[in-house]
Amino acid sequence: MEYIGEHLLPGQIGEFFIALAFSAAIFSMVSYYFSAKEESADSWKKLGRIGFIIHGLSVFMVIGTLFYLFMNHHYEYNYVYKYSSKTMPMKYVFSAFWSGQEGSFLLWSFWHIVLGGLLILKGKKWEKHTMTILAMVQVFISSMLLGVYFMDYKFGSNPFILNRELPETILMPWASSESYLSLLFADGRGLNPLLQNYWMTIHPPTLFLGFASTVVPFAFAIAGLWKRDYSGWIKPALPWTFFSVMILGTGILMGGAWAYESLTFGGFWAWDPVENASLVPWIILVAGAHIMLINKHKPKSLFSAFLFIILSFIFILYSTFLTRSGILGESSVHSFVESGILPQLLIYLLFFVGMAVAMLHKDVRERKIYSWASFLIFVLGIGLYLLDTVAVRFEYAPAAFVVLFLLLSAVYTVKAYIKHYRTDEDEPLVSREFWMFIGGLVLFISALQITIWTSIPVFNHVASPFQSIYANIANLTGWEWAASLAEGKLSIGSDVVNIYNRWQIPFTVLITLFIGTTQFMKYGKNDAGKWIKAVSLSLIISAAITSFLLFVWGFEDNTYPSNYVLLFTSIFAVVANADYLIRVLKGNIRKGGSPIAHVGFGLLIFGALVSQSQQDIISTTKTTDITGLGGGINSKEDQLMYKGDTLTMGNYMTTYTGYDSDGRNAYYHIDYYSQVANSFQKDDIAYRLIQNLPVFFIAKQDHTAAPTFIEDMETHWYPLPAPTETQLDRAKKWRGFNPGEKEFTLSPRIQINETFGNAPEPDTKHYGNEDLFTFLKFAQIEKLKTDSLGFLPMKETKMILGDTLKLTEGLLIVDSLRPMGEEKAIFGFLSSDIVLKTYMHFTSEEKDTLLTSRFLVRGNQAVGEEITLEKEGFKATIKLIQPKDSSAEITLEHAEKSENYRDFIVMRAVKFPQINILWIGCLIMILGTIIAIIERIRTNRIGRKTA
Amino acid sequence: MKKSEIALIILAGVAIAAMVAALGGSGKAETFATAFSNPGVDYKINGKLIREEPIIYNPEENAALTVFTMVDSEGGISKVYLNEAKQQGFEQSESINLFGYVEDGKFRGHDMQMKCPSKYNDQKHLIDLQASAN
Repeated sequence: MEYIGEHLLPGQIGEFFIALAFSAAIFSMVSYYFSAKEESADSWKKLGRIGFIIHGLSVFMVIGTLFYLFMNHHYEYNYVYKYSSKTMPMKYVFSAFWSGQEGSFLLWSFWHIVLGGLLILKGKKWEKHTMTILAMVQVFISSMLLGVYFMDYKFGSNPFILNRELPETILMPWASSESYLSLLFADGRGLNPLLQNYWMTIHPPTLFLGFASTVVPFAFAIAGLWKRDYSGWIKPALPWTFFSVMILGTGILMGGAWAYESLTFGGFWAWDPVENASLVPWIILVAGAHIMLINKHKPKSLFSAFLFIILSFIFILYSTFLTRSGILGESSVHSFVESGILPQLLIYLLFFVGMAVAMLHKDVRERKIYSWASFLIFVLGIGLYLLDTVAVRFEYAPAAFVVLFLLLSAVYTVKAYIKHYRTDEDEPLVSREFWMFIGGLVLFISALQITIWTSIPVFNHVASPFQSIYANIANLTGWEWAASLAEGKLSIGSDVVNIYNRWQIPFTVLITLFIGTTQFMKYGKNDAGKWIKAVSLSLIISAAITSFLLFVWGFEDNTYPSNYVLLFTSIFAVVANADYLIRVLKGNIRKGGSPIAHVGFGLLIFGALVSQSQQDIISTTKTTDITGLGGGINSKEDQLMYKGDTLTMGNYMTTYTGYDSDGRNAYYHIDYYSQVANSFQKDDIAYRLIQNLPVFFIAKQDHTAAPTFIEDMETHWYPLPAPTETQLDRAKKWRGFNPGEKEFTLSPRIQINETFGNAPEPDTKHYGNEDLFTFLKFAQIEKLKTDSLGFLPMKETKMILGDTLKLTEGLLIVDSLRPMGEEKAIFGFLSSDIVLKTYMHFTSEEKDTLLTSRFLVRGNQAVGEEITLEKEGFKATIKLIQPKDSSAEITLEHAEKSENYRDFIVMRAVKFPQINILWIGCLIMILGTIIAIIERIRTNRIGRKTA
Repeated sequence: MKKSEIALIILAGVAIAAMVAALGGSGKAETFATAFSNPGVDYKINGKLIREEPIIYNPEENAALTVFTMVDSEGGISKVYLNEAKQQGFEQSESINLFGYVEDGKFRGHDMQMKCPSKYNDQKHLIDLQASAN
């Protein structure tokens, strides 16, 4: 059978190049391996290069083909169908390209190839070894795109698969209809509108370049071990490492900026597992990079340099594993589907762990023992898993053997350290290398803490074979965590952000402190007195700034007392590094990469600390005007705004003026005005609504209003219990402020999307010293449903005599209830009927109308008479009358016309003070790192020339 | 012993303490049954929105109260009084992490995370297509 309209050729070309890319990567890896084994084997090196170039070109072809499919809307391809549509603007084709798993692996591959190209050009004597490692990584990554079946197991996932070829759809009847394409796939599903923004265009490439770049220091470290050149690798690897620090850091910060600009997490960092997964490798990389710096000056702490650089790459893999395998499950607000690549990702991750641990051993025999033991564990794990039958269960074998392997690796890592890397030589207490090392350790522990917490869902998986053991522990000791683990239900608890902050604030205190103090120490032995003298100026200045912020500016933090310390240390980090740059380096920018980057980091921490801990939610709803009377109906953090009403919000007056929609977004416009204090004259009449009823006051004298009514009333008003007609005419609602000049308009929006759910996006007013961040919590998007007469759906309200129902145009009050007597015969009722006549009245500024409604009970049936108010657009029917306490409870069904409906929104507005310092800090840190990289490359070059 | 090794040991101690604290201090995703038997204690409950039951959000009366019915991971069903505005796309949510406690026999939520339909893989849609093809 021929399917109509399919374009199969591009897919076949794409699949061919995937296969070629995979084979060429293997070829390149093998050739480079042999070239590295025999230093003189340049023909092998040539073959390795050719293999890598073919691999690179093939990957580019794959990328090109996939783009071609996107550009030509070939929706028979599942990947194109899932992530694009005809209505999607073409500028988002990049976002669509890497929004799926296959596309992001391609992006990652792309950067590896670019970096590989640079290594070929610039690697010199390190090329053979580092390229072997890089090619090996590429073998693994390109295998993720193969999409072939090996026995029952799917190996990788191919971006060129057709919709009708998917395992889920292959048996569907439409998959065998020759014209299915034009019937079902005329258009794609389209990209999630949340991803249709410029952040999605720039954030993933940067982040993936950051991910990819960690492979280079890793390759150098392994190459160093392989060549047995234990410190020689550091010098060429340093610029790469700092490049990686810079790019990965930028990518992470961009993610934060994206979250802040266009998502409504309520800030820039939420400790979400996805964010943590990229932060952890960065922290370890920063630790590794600093330890490498020590090594450059003194060949010491070799082991930790290896360990951290290796771990930063391992944690990149681990982060991919966490976010792509589906193992995070419920713990992330990001949604991930079991992608079926968990075992594959896990094996890759463990392979690189094993390789690194083996290489750490200088002793070939130890390497072999460890490798064979690991291999045995691997074979046993897989073997038992394959033997898993209904009769004999081995389904948990993989988890158990993974734990066993990791334990073995940990033991061998410690063994390698003790055997080969431990020295008795000690660093002086006051020396740069000692404190840089301690700083590195603190960073490492901080990263571990984040990893442990983020990995809790993984613990549940890994612990599953041993559930009965944990259950026993729980029974014996009553430890809650053991009980949770036994049920596979360990979780981080209810206050995620708090848990991370509590741990990370003290770590950050230490780091910012070391950043300040260590900069003033030289490598080697220092004179402690001189050092104290050098830092004391910064200490004094920082203490002064901190006191100013505490006592004059009013910094306050009741949640985390440790933030007071962090306030000081973050300022100290900035001041000390600025001082170092000015006094010690004499303002030499070229040599100042390090202090500049550290000033940036200090500012980043300071900005984050101040903007988060001093944030002020200024939106509140006061349903009744006197604060405190509202009680339960006071909504503390969200503001209800009716269209046209002017409300006080923080130091603004605000008006919601309505919305407009372009079909994709609905924009809700809110005008912000400055506040001008209201002024009153003697004998002015003002009223306040208390529980919807007006209470009147008369002014004692001419005055300018205080901000709140309670303050104003005390000195300036008398209550006026019985106002006269003329006084009533003059009465105005009390208001402390009048709107002054219009300052700006913010239009937070809601993205309209049926497939993915509507999503609110914030709008922010940026000031130099603070941001006003606003987003919608609720807005009416759907058209209101009305009946043929224009009434909104009926509502039910239970009322007892004397109760008031608030309507748009006035109030409806239930006055009394009376059974009809003999006169009911006149109206044609039976003598056995019970007829209850309800007296109500409607009151508004214009009129007072009496309303009656009869309620008939005949046998077991009851019916109420409809009452209507034509002009006010109101109708009501009594559904039920029941005795309640000593009164009667009337259930009223009522509706108003849609014209009466007043559009409203619920909005949250938050002030983030000094958040710009955070962003400025980010930029300075990036800038400083770039300066340091340039300087490092320059000195390396000079070093080579003089050598 | 070297100073750096002493530091390593101290920090390793901190790390182990962190680990123990992580295990000890972490709650598990609980069920309504547990929450109702321990009123006043804050729990995280994972579950799903029951779409058939009404979601009551009446911002004109209280902009920060959403009432809905949810089923937890073990099938326990409870009405939830969430002190939050109704989030956009709540009806489409696939699963919910709810934080809250029981007070006066009512489950009061103070925080909610919801997981919306995946922006990654959603092949279910392809199977649903069958309906439109028929």
